[in-house]
Amino acid sequence: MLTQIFGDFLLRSSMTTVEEMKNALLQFLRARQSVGDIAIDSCYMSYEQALEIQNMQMSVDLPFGELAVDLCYLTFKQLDDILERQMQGHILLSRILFKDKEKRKAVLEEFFKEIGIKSEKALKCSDVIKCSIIEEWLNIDGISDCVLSYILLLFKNLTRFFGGDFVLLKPKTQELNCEWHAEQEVKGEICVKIMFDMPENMLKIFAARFMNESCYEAGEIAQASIADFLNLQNGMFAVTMSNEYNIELDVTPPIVVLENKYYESSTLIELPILYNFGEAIIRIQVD
Amino acid sequence: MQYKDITVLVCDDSILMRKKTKDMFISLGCENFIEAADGRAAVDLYKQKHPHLVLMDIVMPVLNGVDSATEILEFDNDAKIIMVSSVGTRKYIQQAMLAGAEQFLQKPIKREKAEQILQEVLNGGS
Repeated sequence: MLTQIFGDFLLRSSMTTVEEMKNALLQFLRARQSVGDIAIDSCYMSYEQALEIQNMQMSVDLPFGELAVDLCYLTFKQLDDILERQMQGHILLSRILFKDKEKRKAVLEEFFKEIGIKSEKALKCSDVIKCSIIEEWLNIDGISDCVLSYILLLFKNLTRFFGGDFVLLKPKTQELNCEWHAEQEVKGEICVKIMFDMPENMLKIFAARFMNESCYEAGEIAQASIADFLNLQNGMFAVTMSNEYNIELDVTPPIVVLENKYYESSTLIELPILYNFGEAIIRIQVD
Repeated sequence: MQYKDITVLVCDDSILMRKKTKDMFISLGCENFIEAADGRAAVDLYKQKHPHLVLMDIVMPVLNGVDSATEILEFDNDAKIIMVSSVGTRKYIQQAMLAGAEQFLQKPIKREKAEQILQEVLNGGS
């Protein structure tokens, strides 16, 4: 999550351009290795074990490494080794964008000053701290802790299932021209509606990443993968609310809307996300 | 009877989930599938085809999985229905069990679990 907000910070402070950022995200994608990738490369885990954990993450909001240790696929020592070797995303992104070491150091210091944490704490940034960073970053009054948890879970799931090579942008006023979108509602004590829009050229890439297989057509299967992602996000949120807060929520079936819709932006939290291959937008309506 | 002789009714509003579920059961040796995209279609298809096993999503349009399972079990008390959902809250699990489902599984179904279910079908019970 820090990586994505760091990207936004760089763009807003004009330290980099959108085009430079897109190129950097492509390099980031190539260079960044997940905990699972490193575990396989190091022969600590098999591909099948990594896949099993990835599947588990579809229903449990826990880090890959923690699940791997729980299942005895990794020892604590091996996990420490992996985490030591895995460069933190925001540091990797800064290395790609700023060759000069001093400049890099200054940029990172400025970023951490803005989000109000000390850089050395970033590695073990708790969910509570992350929620407060999101609150500060969104700069919208009156967002409940539950909704902040929802957004944090969304960031984690975006990273887990589509990859972390994106930047969260500040909401814009102009509408994206999307031909379709997927949406789903959570109802009950907490009411949230989430809509995920993206141009069709991005859909194939998103679908391929979610399904872990090639996707050649932006058709029904590709659209279903985005609807399934929302279902996964909302299912996980409902389970967390049920288990941890004793709040029982209902989830409506996700739907794919094949038309352009106008949204009253003042009632929505808009989360535009920039990838090297385009820009998508997630809208969250809270009642 | 072998796995290839078992008819599985896969009911899920997501075409992708139906495909993934079918792929998993095909990899275990199953060959016969019926697909339904909502709970109403599942009830109708069950009555027509009498599948050996029903894998039923819960959150679906038209008729949800819990109500669909209830209708199927009213028609055939011996129906083997496994509820499969991303929404594994206490409330949903309780509703599924009260409806008479044999098990509640969190999506995605694990391969070992799928094999265990098929074995139970072959053994004629749970």
